[in-house]
Amino acid sequence: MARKKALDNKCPNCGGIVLFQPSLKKFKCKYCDGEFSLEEFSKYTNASSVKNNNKEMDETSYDTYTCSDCGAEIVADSETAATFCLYCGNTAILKNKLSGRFAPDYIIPFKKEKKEAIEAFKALSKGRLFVPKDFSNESNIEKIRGIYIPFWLYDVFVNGSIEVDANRVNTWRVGDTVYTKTSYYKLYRTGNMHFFKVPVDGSTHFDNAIMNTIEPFSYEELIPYNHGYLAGFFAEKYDVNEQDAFPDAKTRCLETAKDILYNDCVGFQAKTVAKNNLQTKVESNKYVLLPVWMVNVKYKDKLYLFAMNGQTGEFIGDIPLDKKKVVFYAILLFLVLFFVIILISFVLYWIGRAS
Amino acid sequence: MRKKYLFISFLFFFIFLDITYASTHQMNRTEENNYGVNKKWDMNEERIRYALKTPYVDAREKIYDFSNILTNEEEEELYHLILAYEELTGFSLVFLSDNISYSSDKKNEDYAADFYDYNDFGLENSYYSGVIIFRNTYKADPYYGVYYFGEAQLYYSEERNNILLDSIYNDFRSANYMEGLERLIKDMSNYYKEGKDPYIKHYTLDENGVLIKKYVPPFLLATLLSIILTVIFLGITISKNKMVKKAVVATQYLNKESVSITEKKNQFLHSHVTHYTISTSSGSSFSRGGHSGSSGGGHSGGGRHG
Repeated sequence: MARKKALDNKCPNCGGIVLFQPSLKKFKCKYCDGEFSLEEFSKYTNASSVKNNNKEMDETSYDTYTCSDCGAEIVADSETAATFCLYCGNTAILKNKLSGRFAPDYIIPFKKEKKEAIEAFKALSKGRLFVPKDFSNESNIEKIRGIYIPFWLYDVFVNGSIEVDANRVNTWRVGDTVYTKTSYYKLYRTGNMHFFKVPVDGSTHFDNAIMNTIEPFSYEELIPYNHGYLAGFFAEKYDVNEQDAFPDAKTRCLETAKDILYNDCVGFQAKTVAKNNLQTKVESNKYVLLPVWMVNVKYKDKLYLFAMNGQTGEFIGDIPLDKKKVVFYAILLFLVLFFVIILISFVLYWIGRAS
Repeated sequence: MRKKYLFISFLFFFIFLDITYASTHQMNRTEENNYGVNKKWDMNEERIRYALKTPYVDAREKIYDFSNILTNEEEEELYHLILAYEELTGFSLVFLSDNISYSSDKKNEDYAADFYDYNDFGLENSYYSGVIIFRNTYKADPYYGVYYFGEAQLYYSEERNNILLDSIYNDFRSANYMEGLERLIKDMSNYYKEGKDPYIKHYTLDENGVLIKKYVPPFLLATLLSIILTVIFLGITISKNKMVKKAVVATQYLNKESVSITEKKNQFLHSHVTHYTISTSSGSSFSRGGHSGSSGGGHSGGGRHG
């Protein structure tokens, strides 16, 4: 297939991948459904101008494929591993994207269906007072998509030592005199421990904080990868390799190891870590695809990304605030509390007088 | 004849003077005259008992020198001072001296309060407002006090009363009563002109003339507390909208059985000892609330030994 150089395809709204839609004659973001003409694209710093396009300076490339059902041309960026034919809706699994070094080791198939994702998204409004009224309307719900996200899973061995400055305080009384003895210590703890399958998402298209928050996945359901599981879903291959993704896992493992050694220093107060000599070693890593339901909601010209763990159903995202509701409830609560406090003080006064 | 006429005239003059501000004449308390009590007190058995132990006097006399510590001239001068004070303030003013043995200071206060409450002092005022100056000439432990009733309590706090009592201490101790009483009444008049005592501006009188704290709505406290609670509520509610947070630990991926702490060492560096002494406060606390006498009526004030 001919590789064609194309415009920088980063969506100005959400940073997602933008594809040209022939039926719309516009570029459309596959994550937030934002639509842009070529002229609009030229406004943004990431966008290539006509001049740049002529020079072919962008780094992203697209591939074109032929749909096996209807013969239509499918355009996909270099990271897309599974998509849909825009004409007949058939799933298009781009097998060559998931072969060789990009072949996943394992996959956790989707366990939660789309309707469960929709119900979970609607349920986000319950128990939350300041959610805007039109937050869970149908136009947002229909955008929910199931995507297999590429992850690296690391087995990490941590060993090393920490030094902790601490003190111990004893107090006693003799007659009317109170004595306080403060003793200062240097505490040394050395140890090691193993961490298994620490996940780091291998794609720059998805926010790491969101991927962290939908953890954990249950690894008992990890199975050897098969293309068949991608049917009906989107999928991405990694664009962050295992070396570049490891620092996130390393930071988390080191922090946990430090906490364990620190918490072993019992019976002391005012503890601070003075030195940290902990090191990590990667024992193994695996490349896996994990299931996530995602939806991008636009509210007051700002995009809010929501994600649901496609295995456990954990649904997260930062829900926008309806500021008018915040102000209204703040004033109402203040007035109610004010009068209740005055009433309580008056009742206490009368009880005091009566007694 | 002339001598007889002079004697009768002299006798008549003396008796007349005696009736105007004589301090030893007492009347009888009987059931028919409600035990001499024309105030609103409900005269139950207990109050009747207290009333019967209290001298029943003519309230118009104002000076009751049972201990005979004032001369006639001094009584006359004192009477005029009392009238001037009453005209200024609208409060009754009474002077009482007696010889009462006591084992606690409260007995002096109770005696003076009962004397005021069970006689017709302050009848023309709301809350029977007035002041009684009491001198106990008990030889073993002389005592004097000033006690306030009704609205007079709002003008003479414990702070002011202490100043008044201290100012006459030397005079009373050295039996220089008239100078002390002149100073006392003058100072009391000055305090009245200054207005209600700021120390008890948050106090008022109940239906029995007992000093009670006024209800002052705690607007500042209610505002601050409402703001704090509202902010806390908003913080908790808004935080429910924020679910995304970057993971900083990998605790759920730790193999707990694999944790091995191979070295533990606690090295002592140095220590120091500090101390402080607990001080016990012996200061007296001022209870700004008033007291009630056996009648149920309220009063305040205090006294001194000497």
